[in-house]
Amino acid sequence: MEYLLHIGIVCLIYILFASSLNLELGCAGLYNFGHVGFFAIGSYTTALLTLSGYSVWFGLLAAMLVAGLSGLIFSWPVLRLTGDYFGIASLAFAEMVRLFLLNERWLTRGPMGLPGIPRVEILGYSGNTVTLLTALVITVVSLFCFKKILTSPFGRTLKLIREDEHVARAFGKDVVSFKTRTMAIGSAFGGLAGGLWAHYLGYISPNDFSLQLTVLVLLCVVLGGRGTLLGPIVGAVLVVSVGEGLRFLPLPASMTAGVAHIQSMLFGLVLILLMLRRPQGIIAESHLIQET
Amino acid sequence: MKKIVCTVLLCLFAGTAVAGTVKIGAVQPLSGKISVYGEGFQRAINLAVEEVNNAGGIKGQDLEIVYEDNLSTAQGSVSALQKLISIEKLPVVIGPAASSNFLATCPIAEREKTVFIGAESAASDISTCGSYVFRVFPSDMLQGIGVAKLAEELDYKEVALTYINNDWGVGLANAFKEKYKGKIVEEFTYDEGKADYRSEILRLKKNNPAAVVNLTYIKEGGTMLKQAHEMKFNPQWLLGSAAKSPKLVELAGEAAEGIIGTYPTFSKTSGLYEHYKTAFAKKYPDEKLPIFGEYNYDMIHLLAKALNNADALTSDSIRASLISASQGFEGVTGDLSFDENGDVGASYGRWSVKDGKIIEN
Repeated sequence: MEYLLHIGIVCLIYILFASSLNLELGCAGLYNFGHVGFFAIGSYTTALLTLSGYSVWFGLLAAMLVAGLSGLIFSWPVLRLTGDYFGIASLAFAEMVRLFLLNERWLTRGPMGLPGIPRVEILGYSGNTVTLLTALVITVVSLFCFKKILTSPFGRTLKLIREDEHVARAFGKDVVSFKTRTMAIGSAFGGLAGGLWAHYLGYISPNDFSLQLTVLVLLCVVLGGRGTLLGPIVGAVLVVSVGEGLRFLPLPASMTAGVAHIQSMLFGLVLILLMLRRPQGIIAESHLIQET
Repeated sequence: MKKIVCTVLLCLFAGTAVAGTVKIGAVQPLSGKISVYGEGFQRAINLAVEEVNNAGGIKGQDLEIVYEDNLSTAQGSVSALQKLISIEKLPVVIGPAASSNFLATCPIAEREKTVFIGAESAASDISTCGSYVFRVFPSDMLQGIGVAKLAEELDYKEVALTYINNDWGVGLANAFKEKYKGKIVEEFTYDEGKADYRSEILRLKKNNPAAVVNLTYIKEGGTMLKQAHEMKFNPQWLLGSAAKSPKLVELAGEAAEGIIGTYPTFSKTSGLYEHYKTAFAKKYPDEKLPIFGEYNYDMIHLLAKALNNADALTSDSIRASLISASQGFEGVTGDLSFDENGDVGASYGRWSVKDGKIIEN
């Protein structure tokens, strides 16, 4: 069933993307509104490399490296800002990336986008099943990495920084260094998700990486539960399947135009209810479990 | 989750198991950025479907369009197409507007061997999508070449070139640059939807070109013409087809006087066009003729002919029948014979503005 495979692949990519944001937003309390910028960097890196003849695996690795490096370079000056200022700077960064991709036509073909990006191929097979399996393996391995990070002393320090930076400083932690490293790791995995995305769709253009995607992935994290491993997974699966599920509402043809609005309204309503009733998200962060 | 999906699927199949219709899919922008256009396309398509069904339908059965919203995004288009192919199992799907969404979906249609046909997408890359992909809309290449010919016919040896920074503008400009033999003294892009283009006009003015090729839309074009006129910069403006609208003249006022553009011609005095216009006005008395509506209307009639001629309703026989049905097919928009890339040709005419009116010649 190609359609279910499609939903599966999109879910997995969103899970990876949301989990990488969760590391920054959920654990370190960094309100990164520009995560889509790193997703785009990853997409374009692997697309450009594979289109010029390198293998998909090399492309994905490079996507991770370049996105991670961009995260490092971006956070170097920006992390001296705190709170809202960081959020605004990250928003600006994503827009800068999009404008770069749109205008540097010698490299990215600008608004024409990049068609014909090769698909993931294993032993000569390149169907959706192969893509799904690849995405599954990559996502599971990445989630395992996130779990390691979350339960390590590094992860606990991040949570301390999130709760109270002054306390962290008093304990002798170099807050900026911790945040920089988090940004680099989060961006690298965001770039990996972008790379998978490019190889799955086979065509990317700068307009795919708009604010809409940022909002969607933020929704995945906040809805599922910040700071937990399971939260972004639940959030991503819900966001993708509710969106697709609405396609099956038995509405007359003249009403189909309303479906997307219903979707937005539904998400809005869920968010408001969540804020009122369960601000910690569906999966609440349990401090006890995290400590042991 | 799986349970829910299965239940929903079952309900769907139970609900749609009504015999007696021939279904084709349509991935359309019903919501999102370009949904304004989507509604218009849908109206033109529905009008054509109604006519087809009144004339006997497809082999005695009614033609039905299954619409799927693509949210005006590439991901939405892929989802919609996957659903139409693997769940509805439709052999023919109408592709989405906006070349970027079309390009994201056409490899899937090709892989799944589904006939995929577009009525609005102009990017020249679409020609290489594959053998199951068709479009009844002329490629960028042709229109870019049309503007280049216009500049040469008017004997401009030097022009400045400026265009909207999106897939449409860049595609046209590339085709123009390839064809135009004269010198391009200045070339730059500008963003869509700005209220002020004075700095762009200053940049154009610096070289003082006799003619400016401006590949623009209605709002942007109108604003630019008006502001250029205010800044006493009055070259010969050469425009494409997307700016050809009374709205542009209204926005630009007297600044629009004397501008020249190209557009894909189809005879608007022909009986077919008159028929389309009156039928549309009858079905939708309150609506204006939608942009590219003619192409959508033609596409359905062509598809209906192909479906009627097909030996079986499988994608392969429909594909073969579509190619043969298109040869010499006269629609509202002219001859729709597909070439080996599944593209149609187009002839380009000239339009200009005189005394506040658009004149076609």
